[in-house]
Amino acid sequence: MDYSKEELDKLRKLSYELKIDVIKMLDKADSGHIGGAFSIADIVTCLYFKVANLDPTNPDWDERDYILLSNGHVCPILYAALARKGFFPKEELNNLRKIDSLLQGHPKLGIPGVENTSGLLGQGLSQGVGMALGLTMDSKPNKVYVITSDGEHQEGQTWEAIMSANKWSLNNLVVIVDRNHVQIDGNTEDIMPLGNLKEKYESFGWIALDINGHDYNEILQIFDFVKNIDQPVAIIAHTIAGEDISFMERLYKYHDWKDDPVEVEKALKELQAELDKFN
Amino acid sequence: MEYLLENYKNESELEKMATREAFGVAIVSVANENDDVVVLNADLPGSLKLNDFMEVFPERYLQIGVAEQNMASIAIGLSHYGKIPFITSFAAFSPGLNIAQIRIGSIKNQNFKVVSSHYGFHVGPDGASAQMESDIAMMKAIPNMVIVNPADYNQTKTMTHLISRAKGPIYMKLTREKFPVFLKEDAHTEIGKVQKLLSGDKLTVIATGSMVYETLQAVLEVDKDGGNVELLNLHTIKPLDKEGILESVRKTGKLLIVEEHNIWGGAGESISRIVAENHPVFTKIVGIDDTFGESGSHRKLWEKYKIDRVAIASQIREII
Repeated sequence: MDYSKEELDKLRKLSYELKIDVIKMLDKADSGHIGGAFSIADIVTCLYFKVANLDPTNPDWDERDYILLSNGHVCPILYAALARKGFFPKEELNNLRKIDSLLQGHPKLGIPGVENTSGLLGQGLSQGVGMALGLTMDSKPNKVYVITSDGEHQEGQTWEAIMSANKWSLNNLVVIVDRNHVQIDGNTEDIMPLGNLKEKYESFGWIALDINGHDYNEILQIFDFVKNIDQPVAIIAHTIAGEDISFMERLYKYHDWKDDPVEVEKALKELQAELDKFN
Repeated sequence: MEYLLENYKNESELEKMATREAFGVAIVSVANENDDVVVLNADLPGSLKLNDFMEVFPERYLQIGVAEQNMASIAIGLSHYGKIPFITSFAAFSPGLNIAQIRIGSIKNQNFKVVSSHYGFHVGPDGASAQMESDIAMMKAIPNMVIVNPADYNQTKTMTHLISRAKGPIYMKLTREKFPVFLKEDAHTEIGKVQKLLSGDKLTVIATGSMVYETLQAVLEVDKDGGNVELLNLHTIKPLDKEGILESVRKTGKLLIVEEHNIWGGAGESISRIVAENHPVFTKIVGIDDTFGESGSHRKLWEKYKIDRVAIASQIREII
């Protein structure tokens, strides 16, 4: 089904608010990863505010869906979403990456709403397979969504996990690949070519789908589709690193960001202008 | 004799069993007690003696294939969901190949168990690559990790139950080779506490895992009438039983540690630190002296690399 403009706009507006939170967080933290945080922002918004079954007042709720962030370095967008969802007070965002604070530079179990400790790429999908297996053993209906980067598909373990999800036909497991084509030191196809990820997943027995990772209607429809399938599903989300910030888009040098007051101001201005369009 | 079987001295009378066989038996009864226990294996179920488990609990046995990293991370996911996963392989492969995944699961003290067989020279003829002289070094440096190294078949059965009930990441080491069953089946075993097998007042000898019975024979050879050598069974390498160790060295004033592991990074170094910090005494470590193994039977390798009862006895003689 098509979603109403009103519903889609509500989510779009929210994503700009989350992105503004991220810029402010990184400004206070003096550093952090921004390119991937912005390329996955629309999908994170859809997952946390529309798709997944979550209860922020009870993060360990048995009936919840599990959302794992395998490429943990893009956590500013995760933290912004969790705070706005109500998993912890929004003030915590001011202390990202600081000593004695809740929000670690990479996600860690114990932060309300965080489902996996990450920071070493390539492990999240295996952990998701474990959770999906546990749920399957107990005949539970919960879904497991694993967000991954395209770059971490250079880790061999990712392919071990892909192989194993197919072995057990895990129909409760969905992987989202943030196909933004950049990694720390350059473009993925220059660093170590990943090629056609859809075909690769398919050859491992998965259902794989290419989508525009910034098209809300498409994102929501895909998540509806994956609710009733009998195989693991890979959503290859074609995205733009640093999306919505004119001077950052598609540039690998904004994979991580040493904040600069001029850039902060410019970025906030651009995001505010987008947000104002909804008023 | 609190811990030792009556006929412990008569090696030929004692039953010979590998500790991996005890694990194979005990894991079935552990799984009977607790529905959350699941076992993961990386294409070596026969080597871990999992045949009974596979038959009794096929739905709780996960064959991961030759993918130890995936195995460890899947276990961490299962643990987050609420299962109690045991990951099983050779020590050379797990933790040898998946230390980074195990480390991630240990950061928040997740409840998973790493059970590994064929440590030290126990995969003898296969040669250096499949043997494992470095696993304690890898694992003991991970915060929150508990390491147990049971001394015989009976103790391994008890230990399998204990680690299934204890929360958090735990590494248990198993032997491939059969050796004497010399501890009582109902002996009291507590994670983190040494067991005093023999009392003495001139030298404390601490041995762990496969080396405990070998050391016991060496002590019997040298200290024929008894009373000179105190022998402690170090079935828990981390955390170390600081009080139990210090109590003994305060009495004897001398210490020998015996382990089937590289002396760089093994249990001996950690024990030496506790002794040096609290009650310095003369200390010597018998272990693999910073070398890889080679093909050969484990007994021949023990002999060649000087960790057999002859080498241990000669060290004891020298110190006393």
